[in-house]
Amino acid sequence: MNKYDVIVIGGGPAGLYAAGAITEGYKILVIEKDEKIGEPVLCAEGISNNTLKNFFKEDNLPFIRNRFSRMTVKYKDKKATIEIPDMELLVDRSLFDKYLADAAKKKNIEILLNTLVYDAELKDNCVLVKTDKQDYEAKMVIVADGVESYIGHKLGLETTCQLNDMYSCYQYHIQDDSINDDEIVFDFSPEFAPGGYVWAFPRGDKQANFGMGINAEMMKNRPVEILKSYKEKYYPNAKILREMSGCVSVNPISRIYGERTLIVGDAARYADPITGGGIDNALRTGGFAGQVASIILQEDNFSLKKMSMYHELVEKDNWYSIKRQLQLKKMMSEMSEEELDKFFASSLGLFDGKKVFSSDFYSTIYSLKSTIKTTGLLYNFLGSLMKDKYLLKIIMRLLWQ
Amino acid sequence: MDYIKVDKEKCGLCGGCVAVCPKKVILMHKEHLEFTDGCIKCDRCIKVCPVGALNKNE
Ligand SMILES: Cc1cc2nc3c(=O)[nH]c(=O)nc-3n(C[C@H](O)[C@H](O)[C@H](O)COP(=O)(O)OP(=O)(O)OC[C@H]3O[C@@H](n4cnc5c(N)ncnc54)[C@H](O)[C@@H]3O)c2cc1C
Ligand code: SF4
Ligand code: SF4
Repeated sequence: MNKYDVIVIGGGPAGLYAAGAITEGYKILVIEKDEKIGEPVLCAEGISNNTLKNFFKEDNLPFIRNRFSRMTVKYKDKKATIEIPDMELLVDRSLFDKYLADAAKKKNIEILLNTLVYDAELKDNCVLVKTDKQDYEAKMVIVADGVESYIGHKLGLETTCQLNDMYSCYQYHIQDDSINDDEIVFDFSPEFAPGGYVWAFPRGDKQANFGMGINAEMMKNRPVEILKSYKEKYYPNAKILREMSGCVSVNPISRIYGERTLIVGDAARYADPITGGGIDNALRTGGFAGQVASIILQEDNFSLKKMSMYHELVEKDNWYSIKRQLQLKKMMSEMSEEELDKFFASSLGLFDGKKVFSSDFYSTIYSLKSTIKTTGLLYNFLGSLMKDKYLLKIIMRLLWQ
Repeated sequence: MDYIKVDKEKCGLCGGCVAVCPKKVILMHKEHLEFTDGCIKCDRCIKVCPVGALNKNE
């Protein structure tokens, strides 16, 4: 029987970052079902510059694919192009995950690949982790098994995702002369992606991650089919280099800890409810889980009360913005198409050609108080994408004053 | 016979069906899905799938 202090189930960003955040000197094992860390990639690979700054202090990060400075938001026949200097970038998710794995290995964390955890059971003084190879014992586990969130359920957490909180996605990696390497594109037209959006994130060299996510409850046709017709319409000559299906779940589960258990990242449903971006919160929740695990191990106190510290830290850090994003998601999903038309018409008109973040822009918004509710909404959305707390504070003040 | 049938050619192993299954009866292996006992025939897994890889076994 192999015994560990902590076993992390799942070797994605959340699990790898959590493992690396535990104080050195403990016996830690990460178990990953795939043969390689970072593969296959089921992700559009966009992150904000803030995420990069918060979590990676080193220079010359090997996983950066492309940076861009413009964003175009489309809705039916309308569109707005906004300058977003130095705010968003594209990573190579495969290298990104490998980078996290290498950092963990340097801290003597063991990573076991090609091993499926199919069950986990709480015992008197440990958690029994059952894999297709052999069983392991740990004083505590960090559950990081991603969107499936299968193992948390085995340990008594309610991880089932409602259809309304699920985005069914399909993505192509395309190459096409019409792709602008400096511009990220979103299309919210409901005829294509009800409750979600179509994206084109430039990878450089006239390539893009081009995909869509549809709210699973509102879905009439499957993303695999709609993306195909969208491509025929807007990128008819694009060469498809790779295709993938994916699912994004949102709306955090009500309790993210249990007996000897912390649950992180997508497994805790911590992706952003509006953008679907989950890398930032995977790192955030992973970081907190590692921090709390360190305290628990040091004090050798595995009580439920100690575990709950993790929940408190995550909520304090994040809950407010997630909650607001959820409200916004609900509001947008309840809007009729007519209301959406109005909302996008006024916001896009206001944003077109603007540079986000200049003081100039701030005064533009301010002078347009009458339309502030709708612009606030779009701004909120853009803000969430960029995770800028300062900006969001301004918006909130404008919205509620 | 399982209630659900998987089209292995289509399935991209994205985990969506596992996430929405209220009984957690779908287990994702490295290269295939396994349906264990306890399905309540709610069809949510069929609904969520981006590629339509799941169908009722008729
Ligand atoms: C189409 C699509 C586009 C996206 N685009 C973006 C984007 O542009 N920006 C962004 O921020 N986010 C994006 N996301 C979300 C992002 O991919 C996730 O939020 C992120 O991967 C979450 O990290 P994680 O570590 O929690 O989970 P994952 O990355 O899913 O990692 C979970 C790991 O656990 C392993 N695992 C699962 N079950 C077991 C088991 N039983 N035993 C052993 N190992 C197991 C899996 O193989 C996997 O490696 C996108 C998602 C999709 C589907
Ligand atoms: S949702 Fe569809 S593509 Fe995804 S794992 Fe389930 S059957 Fe496969
Ligand atoms: S029909 Fe419902 S219970 Fe049965 S496998 Fe699908 S989601 Fe699970």
